[in-house]
Amino acid sequence: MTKLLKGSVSTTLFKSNKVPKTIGDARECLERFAFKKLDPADVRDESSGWVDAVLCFDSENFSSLMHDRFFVFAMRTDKYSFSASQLRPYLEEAEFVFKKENNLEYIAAQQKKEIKEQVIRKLKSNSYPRTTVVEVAWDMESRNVHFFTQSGAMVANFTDMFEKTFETTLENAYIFDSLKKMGADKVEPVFGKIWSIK
Amino acid sequence: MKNINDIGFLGTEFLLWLYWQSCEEGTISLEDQGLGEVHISIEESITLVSITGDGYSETVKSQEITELKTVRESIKAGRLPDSAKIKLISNELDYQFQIKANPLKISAVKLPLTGEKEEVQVISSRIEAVSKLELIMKAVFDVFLIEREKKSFANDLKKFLDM
Repeated sequence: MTKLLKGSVSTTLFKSNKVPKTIGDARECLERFAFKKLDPADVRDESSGWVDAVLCFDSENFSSLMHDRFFVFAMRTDKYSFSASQLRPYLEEAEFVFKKENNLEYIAAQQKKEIKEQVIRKLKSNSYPRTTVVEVAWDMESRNVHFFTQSGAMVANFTDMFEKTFETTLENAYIFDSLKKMGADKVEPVFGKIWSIK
Repeated sequence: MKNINDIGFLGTEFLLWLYWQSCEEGTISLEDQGLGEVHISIEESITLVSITGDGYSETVKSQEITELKTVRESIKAGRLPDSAKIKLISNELDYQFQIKANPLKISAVKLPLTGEKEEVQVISSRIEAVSKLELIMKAVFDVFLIEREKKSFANDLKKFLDM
């Protein structure tokens, strides 16, 4: 269930340098970078794109986009990944069968690579990718963008995709942003006046 | 502006100040920012990390952190707050979250229940609450910055810690 409805949340805050003029413009931008499902035969192992925040299978209508002054949508990432230990039994079996069928003692490196790719393709067709959905709430008045995770990898992926989608730039916003006005370079710790720091 | 890592001490000082406020009335006026009054208290857990170079750290879990003499003694010994669980009340709305000193950020926010039943209203109200909490915490941090600029800040803190 979307974090927008239930549960505790962790967010990363940004400020965008501009906002879409209309909801239609925002929808068009989102559609251009909408989420596309991964096909097991696809050479890609990962796919990221925008989906509706409530119906995360919907990457066409974005029917829940407008909430008061916020544009609300989500970033969906589907990823196939198999650890070495997951691959090992299937890989060893495929290599064993290949050697037996071709009456070989060793398998050439290039051939090994092809066998591994076949094994991965087979595993992909028999499993679902790992899916992550992270909600986004974009305040049209303050230009603040709330991204509902603090995961470094997700934040990096999001920033890149958001900037491309809306042709804007995102700047991180922090609790201590007012320091900029005060002149942060002048701020010194008070600990030294109280504790002797080694 | 200094790098986020260069002002890490401010995060620790901010948490220490929140502990101090929490031990006293815990009410912080944000009238200047149009946010009324908020009540802040440290609840359930606090992690203290030594700044004196002895590598000591401890996590204290209790419903009455502010009442515990051991926490204050630890702080006197130079073990300062690195993270804590906070309860914040603003306009009768109750937020709970984790705050970390370095880098200074809040996470695992339990948003106030506002009684909406319609899905659309719940979403709007939760987004509004997230947005409001960020505004409040920025304003609280600004109050702290003003307080720490006062000449008496270090002495008042020492007095509070009975040092």
